[in-house]
Amino acid sequence: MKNKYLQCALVLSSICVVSAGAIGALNYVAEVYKAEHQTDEAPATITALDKDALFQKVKDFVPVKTLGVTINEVYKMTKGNAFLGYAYDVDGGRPVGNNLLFTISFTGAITPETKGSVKPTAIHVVSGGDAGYTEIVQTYGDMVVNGEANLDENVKIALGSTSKSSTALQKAIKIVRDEYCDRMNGGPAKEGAYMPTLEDECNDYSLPVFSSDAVTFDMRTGFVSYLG
Amino acid sequence: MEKSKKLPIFLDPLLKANPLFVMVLGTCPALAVTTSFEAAIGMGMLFTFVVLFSNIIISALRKVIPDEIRTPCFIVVIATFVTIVKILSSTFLPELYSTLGVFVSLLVVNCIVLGRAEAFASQNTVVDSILDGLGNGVGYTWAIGAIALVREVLGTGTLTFGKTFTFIPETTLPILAKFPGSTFSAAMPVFRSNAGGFLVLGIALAIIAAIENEKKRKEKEKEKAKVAAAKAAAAKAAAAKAMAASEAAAEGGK
Repeated sequence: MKNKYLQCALVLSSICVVSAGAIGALNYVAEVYKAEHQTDEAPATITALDKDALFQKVKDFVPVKTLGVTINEVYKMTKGNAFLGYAYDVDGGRPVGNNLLFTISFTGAITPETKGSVKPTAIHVVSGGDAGYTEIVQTYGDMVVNGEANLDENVKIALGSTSKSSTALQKAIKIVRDEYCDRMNGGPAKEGAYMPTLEDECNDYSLPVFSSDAVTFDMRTGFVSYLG
Repeated sequence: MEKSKKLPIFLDPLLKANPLFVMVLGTCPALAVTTSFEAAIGMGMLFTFVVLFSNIIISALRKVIPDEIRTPCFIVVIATFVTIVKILSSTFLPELYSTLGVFVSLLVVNCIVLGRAEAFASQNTVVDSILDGLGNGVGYTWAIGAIALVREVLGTGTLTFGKTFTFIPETTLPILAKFPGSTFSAAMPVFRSNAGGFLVLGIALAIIAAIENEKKRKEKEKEKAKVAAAKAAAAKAAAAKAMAASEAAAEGGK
């Protein structure tokens, strides 16, 4: 070709068009494959929480990140036809060298009184945050499950210098616990949810009471009282 | 004759001209993804795919691509294969894709891939480019595999399979077993850190440099011995010639 500029433009655009076509076609095939082979089966890290339970992925759940802790997936736990609770796949951030990865399950109903003291029923630590930390962080997780460790106390484990990972686990458990409580109290999944009654709300003393010289508004009861 | 010319194209990048250990190219992913042996082998596989197919396409189009726009064309071709690799790995090997993270995308700017396209594929036939791509791919794979093997074994004390390639059953081989009755492990977590990566690569490069230097020293000694032998032979020949001349002179005198 005599015109060099035209030749350059033609060659480069042809390569781009062919590349785009190939990528588009492959992407379409990959999407079809993914749609056909997508499975709702829970991974081994989740089923390890309770061998007898059935886990069903909560499809409409969108991963959320709170204070560096990401809840990746939520699974509904059932046994027979009875609803048990929820299992979570969690990324607890990077306390040391690698990310702290674990799965956790909560079962049972929640009341406003028990909200802050709900214990997980099982924890399976996939990665403890650094080489050799997994076993030790798992030990702390087991202590929380068995009630030997309180989530509000300082994490001190004599087994090794993994207090950073264990503290990260403690923080992540609290975040997941809050999600579980919200979910059970009318969150995205309604199955087996404990719906608080007005009486329960009245007993929730965390709710404030607003008052001024003329009026008092009690959020616990919803009563408005006028003064004078 | 033809066979003996083609074989070194494949064999040289394995040892003599290894892209990582000899040319010290592609060190960034070599340090980043070598914390696990499986991840390193996965990275090597993806790298081999990209370098092999980009070599083939660039070699096939070498007479069509004008010299002025060869670099943008090479980058488009390489980027296409990196995107293909990304789609394939995220579909069929999602664990590998999430383990390697951004380093799959960074293959686009990998100096080995672009270097082979520029220095070899754009000047040689398709068959030669296939051999070169395969040689460099396998050479790079075994090099990062070896670094990862050392780092994983020393860093964790174990060798794990099945975490990245989920189609094989998960197995953990305890190489550096814990001392009996103690929680102390012989594993040295520093080898899994970035510093450990530099340490292992540095030691490997030092060993290879030592071997190369020893080879060169031996070659020099051989060369010296050859020169000395040639000098001795020349001196011997000169002495024999002088002796013959003196004998001839003596006979003439008689």
